[in-house]
Amino acid sequence: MTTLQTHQAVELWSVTRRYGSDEHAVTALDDISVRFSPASFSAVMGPSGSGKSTLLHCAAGLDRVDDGRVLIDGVDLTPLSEKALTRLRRDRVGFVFQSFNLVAALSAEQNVELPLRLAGRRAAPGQVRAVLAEVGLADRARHRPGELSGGQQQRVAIARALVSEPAVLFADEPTGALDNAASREVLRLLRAAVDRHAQTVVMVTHDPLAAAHADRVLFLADGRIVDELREPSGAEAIAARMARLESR
Amino acid sequence: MSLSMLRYRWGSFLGTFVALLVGVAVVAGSLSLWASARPRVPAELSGAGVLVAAPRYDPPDGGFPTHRPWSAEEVDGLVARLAAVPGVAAAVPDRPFYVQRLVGGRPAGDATGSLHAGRGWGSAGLTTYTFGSGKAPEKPGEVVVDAALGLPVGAALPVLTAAGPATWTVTGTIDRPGYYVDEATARGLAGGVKYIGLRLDPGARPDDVAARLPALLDGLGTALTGDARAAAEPEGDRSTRWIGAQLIIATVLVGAFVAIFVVASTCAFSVAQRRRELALLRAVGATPGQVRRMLLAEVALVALGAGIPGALLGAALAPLLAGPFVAVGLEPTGFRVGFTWWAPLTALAVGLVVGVLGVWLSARRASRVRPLDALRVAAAEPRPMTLSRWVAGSALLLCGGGLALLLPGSSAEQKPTVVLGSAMVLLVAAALLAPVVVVPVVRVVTWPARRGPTGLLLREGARVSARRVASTAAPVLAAVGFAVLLVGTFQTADEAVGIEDTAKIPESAVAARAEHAPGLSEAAVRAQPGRSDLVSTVYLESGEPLDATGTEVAGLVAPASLGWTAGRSVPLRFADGSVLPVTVASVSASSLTLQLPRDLLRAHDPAALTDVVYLSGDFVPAPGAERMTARAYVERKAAKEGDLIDLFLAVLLGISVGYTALAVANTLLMATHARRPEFLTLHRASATRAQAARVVVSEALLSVLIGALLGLAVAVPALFESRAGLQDEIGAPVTLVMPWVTLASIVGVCALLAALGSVLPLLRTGRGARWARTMAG
Repeated sequence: MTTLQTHQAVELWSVTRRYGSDEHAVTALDDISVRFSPASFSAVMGPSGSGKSTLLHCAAGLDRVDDGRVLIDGVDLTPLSEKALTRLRRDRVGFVFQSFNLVAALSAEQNVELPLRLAGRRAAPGQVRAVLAEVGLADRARHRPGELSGGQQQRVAIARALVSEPAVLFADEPTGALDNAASREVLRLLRAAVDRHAQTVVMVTHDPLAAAHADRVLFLADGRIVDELREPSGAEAIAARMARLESR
Repeated sequence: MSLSMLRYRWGSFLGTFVALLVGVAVVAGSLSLWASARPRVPAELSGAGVLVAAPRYDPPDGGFPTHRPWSAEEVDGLVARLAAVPGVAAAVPDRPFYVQRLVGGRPAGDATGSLHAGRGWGSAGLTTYTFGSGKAPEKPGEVVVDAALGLPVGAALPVLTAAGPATWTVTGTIDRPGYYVDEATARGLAGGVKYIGLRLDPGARPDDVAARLPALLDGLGTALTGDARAAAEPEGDRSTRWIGAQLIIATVLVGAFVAIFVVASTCAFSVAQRRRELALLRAVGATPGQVRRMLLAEVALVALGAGIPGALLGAALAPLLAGPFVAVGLEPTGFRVGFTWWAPLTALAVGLVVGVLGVWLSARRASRVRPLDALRVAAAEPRPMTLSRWVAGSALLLCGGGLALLLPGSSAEQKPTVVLGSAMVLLVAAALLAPVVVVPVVRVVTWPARRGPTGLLLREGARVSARRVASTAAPVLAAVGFAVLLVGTFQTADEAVGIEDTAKIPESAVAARAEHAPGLSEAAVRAQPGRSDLVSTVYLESGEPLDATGTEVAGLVAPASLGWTAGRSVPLRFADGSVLPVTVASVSASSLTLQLPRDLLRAHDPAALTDVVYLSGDFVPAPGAERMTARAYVERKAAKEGDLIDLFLAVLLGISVGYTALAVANTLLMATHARRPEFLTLHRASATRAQAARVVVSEALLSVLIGALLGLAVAVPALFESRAGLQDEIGAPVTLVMPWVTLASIVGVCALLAALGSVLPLLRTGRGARWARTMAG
């Protein structure tokens, strides 16, 4: 590993991703290069079909790239086998999806412990409880996902993503299915992970209010990064940029 | 973790659980029967520490070994020498013979058992008995009987023997079954001696005594001790048990096959339903190997959970089957089932293997689920046909077709095996390829209703979820295929046998054995005007037994297959053990047995019974004989075989159809349960509950229809193939019997179960609503 040379959590170098073949091919990512530094909170925005989800999938190693390279914590994903890739995801990547985040058969506690168990490790005593307490669900440890509200389920998913102390946490529309109060709580937790634990977070969203919590907002259109906003001053500024993008 | 999954989704494992429970119980029960059906030392000889058996002949083609009888001189010499061996208290030649009590002039009791019910009084010393009353038989006409018959000493006992009816006087009663007569009478009624029992001195060890015998026997016999003495059991018992073993083997094979089939289709279906959950596991770090192992562990746990009660259930129920098995002639009289420790254990292991084999393919498929699939909100069904499905399905289709082509060339015993084997392979092929035909069939069937909403939903639903329809159709396919093929083949063969046998019988009336008699006595035959064949056995010098027929010939007529020439003298050992040189009078190309003058054969086999007399005049009533038409006689013979075949069919069909009914109901329950959100959407889109029910029931019935069509597509060509084979064999046209009744009842049962299974989860809409909320959350 080349930890000495790199200080980036995630790097994308000239990444291209195409779907379909021949004349029906759609280029979802078109020669994108972008870096996410440690302990940063980035939001990726764009109109539907802009390639923002594909960017997240490729950066997280859930999807393969057609061209270019993806590095997580300095490790190149391109040559890795499916098994090695899975191990890397397990050890260095955390996920929060829009919905269907939890294994319905397992309790909140078991869901959080899942990545450790899959890695063949036992959680340190109190570790799982501590992470659950951090997301405010210490008293719901033994509940099944079916007995939790949507917001609580999302908080369990965040706890699970944080438990293995990954190099980067990817969140795909984490507030997409939540009401305002639950959304605010989820975003507050993500922000806290960055501020308190120096966690790197990359979040895809279409909601300017959500993006306003980030340090940096990337705007995607037609598979390219077309704009960037650092230290956004508020949701209005982001919404204005988005509006401009969509009217192009 | 697998355990948590099981606890949560026990519903979707219910089908696998029940299939494995029943499967393991069937295997455990069958193995218990099998273990108890090992040859036993005949009770009448159990008191003989050592048995000396006459020289053995092992057929080169691996059939049952046989013993040739000793001659009277050989027996006398052996008895004298054996009695002098230290440790031997008495050497008793065993002379079992046919005797049956006459009640109201009709033979009573078990026909097979009566063939060796009589013995010389000396044999009583080879078992343990206590005298109830009276004394031993001393002269002809005296008999000691079982006290259970309730006859007092001095009572007259009318009996039927191979010679004819007689009336004996009871001189004593003992506490054992059997008729014990004086040695002279036994000698006159029994065939040759094949076993000499040695009663040992108290304290003498059988193995020590046996070790002293080889030099003394000088190749004239073998000493048997312990369980090896089971070789002396009656030949009839041995073949009865062989038939029972065939049923047990077939049951275990079909049971295991159908269980694998059901488990495989249930698992495949549940994996398809759990796609998103498996993808999520992959996304959070489960390697493909971990997913695969998790599914295997789940099924292994279910197999253990179902296998333990199943194995105990099977072992506990097996003893109850002993009675019915004896009653239908699958096991000899006196058959009892005990507990065998390895039967349930083996069944449990079989259950595990069946479960793992069943889940293997779906586990591989599941491990290839991509983590990205977790993110797809509406997980579209994967392509119905995968490459591996195409390849495996086509390969099995060719393989099964090839097996079916072997049919015309195979022998009569191999035929059922070949039919069954090719049917199993073809059924798996059809199940694999089923999704291909789903869409076209649905399109054709829904054509009349294409304008209505039900037709539209049905057509589009089946188009998107061809796999779901095919999963439901698969068990129906197996049930219909099995049933039509098995029943059709056997019923067609039955017809053919009837045609063949009737053709051989020229006269119109026969004297045949009465219901409870094993055959006709010499007196009954002599009384009738007409022709009859006496069936006996003669032995070559090698000890090889040959079927011999005593009929109206002047000298020995040899079948051409023996390679003898007319004028040659051959030494033949007869059933009574005496060896005579017989000159070959002629050679017959058409005959399959040795033909000898009836009187010559009778003189050397007092025990032989006659099957039937072809009457040339009026029937003369005689005990144990009755008049019937030739046709009725053949039909009675066929019916006896038919009863056994019907039993085989009933057991095999019961297993396969029972299983598949279970699978149909289970798959539909799972499918409809998972589709509740879809129906909720339909409901919101103002479809009434009746309309939703109409859609599911129609789809379920459609699946049954497709399964039935595919099952017929496999079974009907195979049925024609098997008829062609029969026609070649008989050389006459055979009517194909299509088992319409079986077909209709199986399809009916499947349709009923399918309708119930699909509509039940829908009725519980209260839970459906909660379910939908969970999905959305």
